[in-house]
Amino acid sequence: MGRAAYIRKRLLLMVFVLFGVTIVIFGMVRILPGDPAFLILGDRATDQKAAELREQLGLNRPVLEQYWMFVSGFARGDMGQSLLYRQPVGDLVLRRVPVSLALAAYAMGLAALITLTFGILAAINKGRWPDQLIRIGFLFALTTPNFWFGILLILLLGLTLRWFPVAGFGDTAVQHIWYLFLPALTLALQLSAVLIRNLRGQIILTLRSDYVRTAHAKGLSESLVLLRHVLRNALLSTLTIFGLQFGFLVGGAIVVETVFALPGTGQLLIQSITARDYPVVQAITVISAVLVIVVNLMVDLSYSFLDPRVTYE
Amino acid sequence: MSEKAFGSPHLAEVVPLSKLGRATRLGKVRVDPTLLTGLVLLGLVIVVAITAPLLTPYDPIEQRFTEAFLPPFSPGHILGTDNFGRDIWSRIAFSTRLDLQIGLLSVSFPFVFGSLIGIATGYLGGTLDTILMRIVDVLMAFPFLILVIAIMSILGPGLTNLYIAVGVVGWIPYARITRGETLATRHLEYVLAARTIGCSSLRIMLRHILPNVIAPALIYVFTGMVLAILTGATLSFLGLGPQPPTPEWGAMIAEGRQYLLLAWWMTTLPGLALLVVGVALSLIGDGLAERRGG
Amino acid sequence: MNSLNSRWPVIGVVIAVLLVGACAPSGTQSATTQPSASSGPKVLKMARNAEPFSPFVPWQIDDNPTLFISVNVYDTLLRTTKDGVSVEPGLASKWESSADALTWTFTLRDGVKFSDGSPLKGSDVTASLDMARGGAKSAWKDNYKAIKEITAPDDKTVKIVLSQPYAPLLSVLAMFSGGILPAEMARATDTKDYDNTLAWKTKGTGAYYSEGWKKGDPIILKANPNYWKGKPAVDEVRIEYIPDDNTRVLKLQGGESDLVDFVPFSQIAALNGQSGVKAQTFTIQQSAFIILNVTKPPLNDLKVRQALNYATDKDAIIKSVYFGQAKYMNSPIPQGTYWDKNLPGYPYDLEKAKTLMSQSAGASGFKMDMQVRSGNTNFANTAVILKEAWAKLGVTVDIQTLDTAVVRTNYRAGDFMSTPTAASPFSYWTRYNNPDLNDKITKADLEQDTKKREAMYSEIQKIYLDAAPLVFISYLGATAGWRSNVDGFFIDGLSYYRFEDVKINK
Repeated sequence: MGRAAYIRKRLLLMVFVLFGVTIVIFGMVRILPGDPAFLILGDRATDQKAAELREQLGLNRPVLEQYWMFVSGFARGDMGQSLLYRQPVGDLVLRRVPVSLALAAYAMGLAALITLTFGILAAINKGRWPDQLIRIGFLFALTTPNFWFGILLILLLGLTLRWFPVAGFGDTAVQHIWYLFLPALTLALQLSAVLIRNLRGQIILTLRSDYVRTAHAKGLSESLVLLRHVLRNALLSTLTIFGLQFGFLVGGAIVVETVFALPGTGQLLIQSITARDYPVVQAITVISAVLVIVVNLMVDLSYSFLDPRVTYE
Repeated sequence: MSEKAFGSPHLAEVVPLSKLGRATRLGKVRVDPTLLTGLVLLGLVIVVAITAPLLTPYDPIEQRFTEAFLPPFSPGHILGTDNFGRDIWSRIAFSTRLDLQIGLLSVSFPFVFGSLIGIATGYLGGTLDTILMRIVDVLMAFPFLILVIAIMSILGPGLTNLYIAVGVVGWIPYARITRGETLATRHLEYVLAARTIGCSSLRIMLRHILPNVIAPALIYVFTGMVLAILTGATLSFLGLGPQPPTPEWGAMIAEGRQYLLLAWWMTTLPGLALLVVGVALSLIGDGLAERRGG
Repeated sequence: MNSLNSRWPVIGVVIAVLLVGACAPSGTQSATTQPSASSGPKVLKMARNAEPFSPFVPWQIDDNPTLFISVNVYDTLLRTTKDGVSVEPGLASKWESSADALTWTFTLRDGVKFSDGSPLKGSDVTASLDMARGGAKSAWKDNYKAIKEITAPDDKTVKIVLSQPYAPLLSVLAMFSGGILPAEMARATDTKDYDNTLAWKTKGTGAYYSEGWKKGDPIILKANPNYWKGKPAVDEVRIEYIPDDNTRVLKLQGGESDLVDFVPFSQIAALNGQSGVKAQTFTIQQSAFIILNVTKPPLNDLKVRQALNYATDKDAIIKSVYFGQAKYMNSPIPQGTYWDKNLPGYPYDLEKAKTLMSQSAGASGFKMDMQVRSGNTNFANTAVILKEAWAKLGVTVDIQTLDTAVVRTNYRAGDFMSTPTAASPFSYWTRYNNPDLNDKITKADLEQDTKKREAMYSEIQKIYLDAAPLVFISYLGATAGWRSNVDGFFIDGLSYYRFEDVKINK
């Protein structure tokens, strides 16, 4: 199958998957105990007032009609009204998406650097102390909850060394980059802990393979063999994980966004779940699902650039 | 943390172990330093879990307000005390049992279920495969935290529901691993041979394919256990983990967080306990993977 | 297999990136950490634990983050005094009532202007208060229901006619919900397309005004040059939303914030031991208690509820959960108006508790749930202490940490036995219903004689205390921390704070 046909097929699949996501999230928020009307009006509200509000918010309409309004609205680019803030969901969500995206991209960039550096370092020192040190060190990052890890970074790099701000997002583009560094590093170190294990193993495997021995026999220099042959091969699988991690970075950065007070989708999501603000929860879920799917498609497509032998079925 | 709980599943998947050599069963014994270190460490942890009441002079939930916030190496409290004056060593030792249980239970069902699904879809292919893989896609694209908060809110807090919440997505990595492996083995000669002599699909899957594809999934179990305990910690951060005053590492880390600037040991020490188990399980996983690879 | 030269380049790259990341902005850091030092406008940077979500219209506000800002923007006719016990002049400089206490006449202060320069008129007051008591979107109509009519005989006078005597009238007029907007703007708030974007472009007579705010951005308040007390000392207040308790304190320590609210009780003492920062607990009218569901057996037995109260070691909770930053709760009402300081509360007495329990419906022991809102560590810690304490009475407490929305839903449905709460008086309800007591409260509100009213309220407090629909624990303060160069920050008894009193010293 050619690349164009493959992309068409994947985009078609994406529609089905998104359809599934909308059904699951729509059903799920409505099974959740808690009536948005009372949560908005407060504990003192009367039943009659709540009923009026439900009517006004459209929560009294048949479930299928509500679902249709959600899906058809989304298809038109209209994400509805927030129940809690009484303003268009688009206004609320879309200005937060770039923050979460920037955090994810930043974290992935840092993770790529850290993974390449320490993955290669560990692999070529297999069994010796740098290898052991890196493996134990990143196990530490893997087994440390990031709400704790984030605070440690703030204490060390923010408060004691004063290299970075403690928390917040800043006002200008340059400040954003600077403010986002610590939260991105928190995520990156944990992501790297996963990736390094994989990359190290892949490099060790590739180094053992026949064609690397051939390359050596042909007298190619160590670094050239490493860069041109080994790394390119090893990266294939590491890249897959990398892509799959994206969704978890966007969705899972919630805790990090809270610790570092970043105005991203994660914070809004938590608030909206607590308030049972259905349209906002639905919108954030679908947006992050789209991102996950698109990024994974891009990862799959990048295989053929890394390795021309890859074909798509 | 959710990103870890989800992401690393693919660790083992993308290192298709069957590529490394013909599948060998896990039975053969060869002393490998990595594996041995891991087993010894895990053994020590299990010993602590079993003998916890003998190792600790205190009840892990007993409050002594006059002894609150004692730092490590205080007389009578080797690892110090928490905000209620509870002995931290006692709490860590007792929670070893619970955490091993969380690791084991929240991984074993997804392992069995996921592996069977993976083999069935990989071998049978067709509509079943398409449908299940789309379900996997949907779950993968779905923000983990919404799923977990929703499940915990609907079912209520508690350990059983924690296992269910983790299990709803926990089976996916095992399904993906074994499906990939099955796809690679189903055209191998012995499978084809079994089919020509008229073995049923069920028999082929269970007798011929399962033993050959299960090892990578089993190796992943060790990473999965660490991730399950960490997921528990995230849930505690959100207040949906094991209920207080139950001693549990993840909950202890989350509870200690508010006193981080006052009593670092409340979060750090249970964190180190988690690290020890993480190192043990990872070493075992690595050791097994290396043996297969070697 | 390895050689040195294959390793160094990569490490070099990483180190270079880390340095670029670290160095590039460190030049800007010194600029941002001391913005208020030079001769430019004085900016107060505050970090808050929550973001507003109500519409920014005084009578439509139903959350604390919004009302804290409202009192800085929208003045009221009267203000509460700093201790929260009585009222003092606000936009009205003086007032008097008729002999039958049905007609109240307020004289407006001279020379008051809105932030856009237009003068305050009696008609602005009537328009605003009419919206507060009758507007379709008002959340506080009940407070004003004794009012029959509000008129403005001239630009300087406002007349309020009551349908029956109503003692709390002056306190009600000092509430944030009676904030005064220009008449035209006040009337526009009930129209269909009046949204929060319009509401945040404020026009008030208060010390500060806002030119607009979008959720997710910092809130910028600018000093009102026309303020009737004179332009405030701080030119701009910049309020950032920092939800995490530890992070807020770290921002204060790092100098990124000048002022933070909701400092964890555990860190007050530690902060005061450091140079450059201060922290304090202010007395406000708030108490922490456990609500008991009096309709669920055996909690319907008075003796059970009293036993639970006696078996609760308040001092232990105050010390362990609130780090000494709270006070013993002796009455259902906190320190402030009508508080009877002579009531005994339920002093810790385990023997008495055991005796009471043994004579009660719960004598053979019982199991009860305690539903805790997830994320509230003070409630969770209280629950942990009570679980151990009440076990001595044979009560097994099942702590259930639940999503806040679930706790609220169960609470409303009566699907709970106990739940920890912190609230100001009269802002919560329980399932305890005593018609006789309700009657007494209504009568007390009508009573015009202060002394008599006080006595009536004392009796009400005693009845409520003896009925024990709550487990009374402590009076809770409000905490804040600030850089040492910040002066004059104060949280009053109603937990309002006003930036007009704040100064930044060099």
